Amino acid sequence: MTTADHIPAEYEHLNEFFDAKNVLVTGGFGFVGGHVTKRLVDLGANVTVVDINTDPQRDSIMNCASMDLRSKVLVQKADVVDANAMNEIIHEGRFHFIFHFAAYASVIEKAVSAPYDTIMANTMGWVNVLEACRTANHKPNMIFLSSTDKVYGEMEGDSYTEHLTPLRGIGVYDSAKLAADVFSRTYHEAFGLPTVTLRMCNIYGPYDFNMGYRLLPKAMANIFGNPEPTAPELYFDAIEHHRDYLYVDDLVTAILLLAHGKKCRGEVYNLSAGTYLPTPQMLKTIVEQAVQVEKEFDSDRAETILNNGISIHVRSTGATVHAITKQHLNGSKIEDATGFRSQTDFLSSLRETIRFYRNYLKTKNEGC
Amino acid sequence: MYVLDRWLPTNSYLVLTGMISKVNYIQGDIRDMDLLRLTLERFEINTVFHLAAQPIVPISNILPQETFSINAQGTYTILEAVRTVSCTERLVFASSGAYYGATSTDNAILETHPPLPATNVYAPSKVAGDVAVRTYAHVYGMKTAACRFMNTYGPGDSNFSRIIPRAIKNMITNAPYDFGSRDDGSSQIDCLYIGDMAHAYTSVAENLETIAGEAFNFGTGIPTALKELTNKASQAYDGKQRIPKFSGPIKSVPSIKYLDISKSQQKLDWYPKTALTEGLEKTIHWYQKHWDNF
Repeated sequence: MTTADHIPAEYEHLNEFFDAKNVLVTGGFGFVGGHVTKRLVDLGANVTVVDINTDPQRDSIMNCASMDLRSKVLVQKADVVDANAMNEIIHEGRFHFIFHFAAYASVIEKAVSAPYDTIMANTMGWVNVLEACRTANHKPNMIFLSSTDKVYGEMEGDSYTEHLTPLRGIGVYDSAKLAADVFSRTYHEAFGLPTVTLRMCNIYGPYDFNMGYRLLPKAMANIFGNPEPTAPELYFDAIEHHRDYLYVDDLVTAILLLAHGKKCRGEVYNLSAGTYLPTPQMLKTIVEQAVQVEKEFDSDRAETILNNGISIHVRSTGATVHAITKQHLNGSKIEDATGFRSQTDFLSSLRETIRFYRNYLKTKNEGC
Repeated sequence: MYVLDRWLPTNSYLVLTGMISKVNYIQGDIRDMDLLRLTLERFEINTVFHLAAQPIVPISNILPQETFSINAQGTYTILEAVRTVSCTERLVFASSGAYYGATSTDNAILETHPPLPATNVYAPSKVAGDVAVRTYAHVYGMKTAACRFMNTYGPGDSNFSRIIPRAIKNMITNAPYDFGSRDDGSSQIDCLYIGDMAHAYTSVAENLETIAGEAFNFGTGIPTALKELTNKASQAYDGKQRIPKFSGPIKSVPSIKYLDISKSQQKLDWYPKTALTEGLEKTIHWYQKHWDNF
């Protein structure tokens, strides 16, 4: 029961692969790290989760009482920027696989207000993981870095390709991730470390608690966070934006396939997306699907959500926050190497996600 | 002028030339944020030239953590200090041609060439600093820029693992004209004289109003094979020919790496002024004069 509901038949080779393996997930209390941790626990891995904030009160899949993930993993509170702490954890853990998700400020606004912490966590945090692996007696089979499509910067053609599109990311978060991305491949070249780098797009799914910043959780807070729904906001400067979207379960499958594939070591991959949409259309689709979901419960409220639509919001922060206009990843390399393709229907997975947030926001005081 | 360094070697260029009496020396580490902020405010520093680094490529693979800490984290600390003090307006960063990583082209490399992975840690440590320096200009409107150099030589270099200091040391000490096993002598590099490099830094600083956030290549634009370089050094030393010994694995195709400097010429009106022979003569003369200190 644990795995069959996640992994399609063509990925069955993953079912046994992580059983009883020692795995480290950094940033395991975050959105993606939490989902990867959950899947690995389901697959029978011995998972150690490192996070800078392991507070039981923190909104995280790790703290959801219904899943009780916390009791099924070893939780270590540590900052990836602390080289000694990372050395100790990695040298003692004898990990077969390391998944590095710990980052600071994966949203532009936060990164701009705290550049030093953002850059340090994203670059030196990754150096500390790599260095601990380089100096460990027991070498991991694979060390995974979650990178981002933002390393490419502004798109010139129709899509980004791993070995043809130059890395020109220039924002605080973007450029820090760019450096980390170059570090992983250099550690493979120079020291033979089995690094795998995945440049990810926008991920949606339940348990993303970045309600203040990210498009979908933020819209959910508008629609379901208060007794009366309010219109989700679209930043005026995002009207021209296009983004790739992938459901989080698909992402986890992609990551595990990369960890499984021996020939993926030392390589960098784009994540192939499920859906490529203009940001205004994505937000409108979220509202439409929220209306569908709400109709199952309260048709008057559904009507209000529909009538509210979306609102356009001009930012006061000025020119300092600059986002890339269009981002679209060419995913043929990961597909060729691992057979990965998105398995999820966009609208039904979006509705499932919306149902989660509706329930979570309405019963917030009871936990999840 | 304020000079910040972790230590002041007795054979440093500033000491040997007596110029140390004309600057204020502050002992400290670039990763010390408090020290940086206090120094910048206290002395009302207007422009920072950030050249502190762990610059030796082979050492970067022996001490990766230390190299990243100094070259990447050190640069982040300086950027953040400059951003958060009131008086400092400009910063010029010593990046490197190593930024471009393991390139495959034999043509001159343009500034727009992307950073590629490398086989040494020094290269990505410079990528980290270079991109952060440009980011601070783009995001915060700061007047920062990066200078990318290949091989620099001239008076004051105490790193004898580098080819020109090594050649001169071999000749002064009457040691065999041996250059070890790092290369077969066929690799072509671009050697820039230190005086032209210093001029490059000040040119960038003077033009920061219009070029903030950019990177600039500097060099002579003329690659020279290591064998030819060592022959020229020998010629400049005493007019004699020495047979250089390179015992690195023979390369079927010589590696050529040099930078396209047309952007610096056009936007900064910067040109390399010192020909290789002239630069070698000046350099040899300086080492001979100060050899007792090495």
